[in-house]
Formats: sequence, structure tokens, C-alpha cells
Amino acid sequence: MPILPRKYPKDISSLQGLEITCEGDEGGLFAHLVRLALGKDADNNNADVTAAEYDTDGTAGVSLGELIFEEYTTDVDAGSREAIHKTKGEPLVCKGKAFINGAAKNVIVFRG
Amino acid sequence: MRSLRLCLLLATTLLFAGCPKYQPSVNFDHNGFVKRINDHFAAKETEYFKAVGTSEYATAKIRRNELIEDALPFIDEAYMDFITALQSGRDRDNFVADVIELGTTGAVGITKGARPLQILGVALTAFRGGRHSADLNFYKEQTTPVLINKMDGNRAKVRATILNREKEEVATYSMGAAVGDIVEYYNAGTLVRAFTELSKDTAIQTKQSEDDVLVLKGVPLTGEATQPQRDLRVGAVKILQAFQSNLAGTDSGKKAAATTSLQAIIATLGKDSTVASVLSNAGISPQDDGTKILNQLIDIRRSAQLVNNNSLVDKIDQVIIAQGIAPVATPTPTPSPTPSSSPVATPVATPSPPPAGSPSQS
Repeated sequence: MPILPRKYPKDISSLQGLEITCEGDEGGLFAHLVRLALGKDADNNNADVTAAEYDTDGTAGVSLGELIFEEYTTDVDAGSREAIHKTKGEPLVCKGKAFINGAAKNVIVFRG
Repeated sequence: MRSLRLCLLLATTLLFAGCPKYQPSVNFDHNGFVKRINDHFAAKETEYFKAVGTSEYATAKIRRNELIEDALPFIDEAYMDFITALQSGRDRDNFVADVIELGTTGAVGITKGARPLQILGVALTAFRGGRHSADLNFYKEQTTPVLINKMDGNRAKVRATILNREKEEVATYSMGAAVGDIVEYYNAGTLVRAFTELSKDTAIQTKQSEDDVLVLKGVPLTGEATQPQRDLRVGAVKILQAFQSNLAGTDSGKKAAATTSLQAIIATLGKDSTVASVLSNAGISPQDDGTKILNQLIDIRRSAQLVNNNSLVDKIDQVIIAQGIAPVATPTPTPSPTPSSSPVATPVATPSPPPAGSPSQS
């Protein structure tokens, strides 16, 4: 399972900006997003970054570059978002954290 | 009848819209918190002013501090009652709402049939919308412990200020200022003050859990992508996925068409000196078979993307889109909102042009 790490700046403009960036990376890397987390940039004084991981395996039949990013508050909120997207046939990609405009947010990602 | 309806509509609109207030109105006879303090401690205030009048400042200071220390326990008691009611009331409301949400979420998992699922999905969305609106409008989407912590913090700050100022003489800390601080102490324990203080406090939002932080070394920082850049990458990858699907399938016609398209892509890319050297290093030529070209092309794009060499990936993607084929239907469970699917790989005569001046961030 070759995993490709990526890091994005803390001041990314919006959740949609992060979504577009991850979709572009799925396209360019020919890999699917598997993880989103807060990170530290060891090459830059441990500055805050958003870390993402992409898996190059298992891309067959996956609609690469079609992601839906949403911010959630609690586990109940995340669970019901998952259920709503399930009714639309949009599977869960991952649940994690990301920096949006300098602030850490809980993010849940579905594949559209 | 129509006039009556119109009047009723106008009256209702006015009733609910109301008129916004743009400044506070001051009323010295208002029976508010300050007046109640003054009324309750009228005797102590009289003693204070009498002492000030006779220049007995030490006595005045004692009377002032007595008034403060007598008043604060009343506010503390009211605050405790307030947060207890807030916590228990909201806990009960949230519990009921959670049960409904979790129940519906569970029902989604066991319900069969598209229509019932759709109804559950819509019902759940509507319920969550109402709940979100209530949370947003009444509590600004903050949890009760966060609000109480904030109010506790605000009150502690004001209390520290009061304790500090009680040491001051009446010349610098008058009875009026003391009453002002008591009012401030009361206000510090209100939800409105908690909301305004929380909005200032962005640090609380950036607080991170240390156990979920990845340390990245040797990975270049990737800037925010633009929509045209994303569209170019996704458009190209869909074509490459279609090639992959056709080359792995059993239809010889589709395999041949995919190979021809890939060979044409390599031939076109070879005309660009920069890309030609990359292709040469990778050992690809227009005469190679489709699978080899596809795998090498994916590797080249991936390597360039990893180091944010967007100019190279842009060039490759533009040629893939110009020379590629329409994506074929993939076995995903849902229809994709992007390019229309075709069961047969057919050459695209005039694909949509790649975004002009595709951005490069490298």
C-alpha cells in the first residue's frame, strides 16, 4: 500500500480551497485520499501544516478528484452526515482535522 | 377581503420585523441591576459618603470594600443557579435530539429501498438543519462546557481586578467605580459576554490534540490549488482511468483504441523539448505498447506532482485532454457529475480546451 504524504499551508483560504487542492492532488498523483490530519513541518521549525496521505493502490473504479469536504462538530454530527451521504450513495473517505484559515477544524470527507 | 388579507400581511410583517435599535437608551429611573445594588446597599453608601465628607478615608475605604464583598456572593449564587439550569436544560434537549438523530442514522443502515432511504435522508437533513439553527442562534454553536468555562474565565478576571482595586484608596477607586466593577462582574457571567469573548479568542480553535499530529520531513509544502488547475488534473486522470479500464478489459477494439491514443499523446509530448527529455529518461517512445506508456505516464505525472512541478504536469495534462478519449463508465456505485460516460472508447474530435494559462505554483 504505497502511501504518498502531502502537506498544505495552515492559511489555506477555505474548506472549499482545501477540497479543490486535494482533488487536484488525487488527479495529479493518480491516488485516492485516505487521511487528513494536523501536522508539523519538520523542515520549517515545526510550523503547523495540514497533512494528507494518498494511496496509489485501489484506484480502479474510484472516482478520483470528486470529493466533498464538510466541517463537523461532534461524533453524532459526523455520524448523521455519514448517514445522509450514504443515502445519496456518497461513501465516506476519511474523517480528520485540517487547518482552515489558521484554525484547526474537524473535517469529514465523502466521495461524490 | 383582499384588502383585509393585505393589511393582515403588512401588520404581521411589521410585527415580526420590528425596528432595529442602533444605540442604547439611558434611563436613570430604570429599575435595573445598578438601581437594585444602590437600593440594597443604600445604608452602606450613605455611611461611605458620610465618611468621605468628613475626610475619614480609611473608614470610607472599609465601607466600600464591605459593600463589594457583600454584593458579590449574591451574584455568585445567581450565577450558579444560572449555569446549573443552562447545563441541565441543554443536556436534556441535546439528549433527546441525539436519540432522534442516532435512531434515524441507525434506520438508514437497516432500511432497504431507494424511496424509504431518500425519505430518511431528507428527514434527517431537515431535523439537523433545525437543530443546527437552534445551536447557531441561541448558543453560537458552542458547547455548554465551553460557554461555562468562558464565563468562569471572564468572572475570574473581573474578580482579580476587584481584589486588586480594593487595596486602592477612595481617591482612586470610588464607590461609583466599585459599583461599576460589580456590574462588570455580573456581566462577565452572561452568555452574551461569553460569545463576544469567544469570538475574540481564536486561540481556542487552533488548540490541537498532540496525539493526532503528523510530523512531515522532506515533503514540499503544496500551495492551494486553483479551480482551473484542479479541473485540468481531474480531467486528465479521468481519461487515464478510462485508458486503464480499457487496457485491462477483454475488448480488443477498446484496447487498440486506448493504445493508439496513448501513442499519439507520447508523440505530441515528444515535440516539447522539456517533456521529451523526461520521456527519454523514462524510456518511453510512441512505439511502445499501451500498458507500458500508461504506467510510465502515471509515474511521470505523479513524480512531478509530488515536487509541485506544475508546469510539467500542466503540459502533460493538456495533451492528455486534447488527445485523449471520453471517459468510459466506471463501476462506481454513483453517477459522477463530471464528463458524460460512454460505454465505448471513442476519440474526442474537439475536446474542451484546457484552461488558458494554467497556473503553476512551483
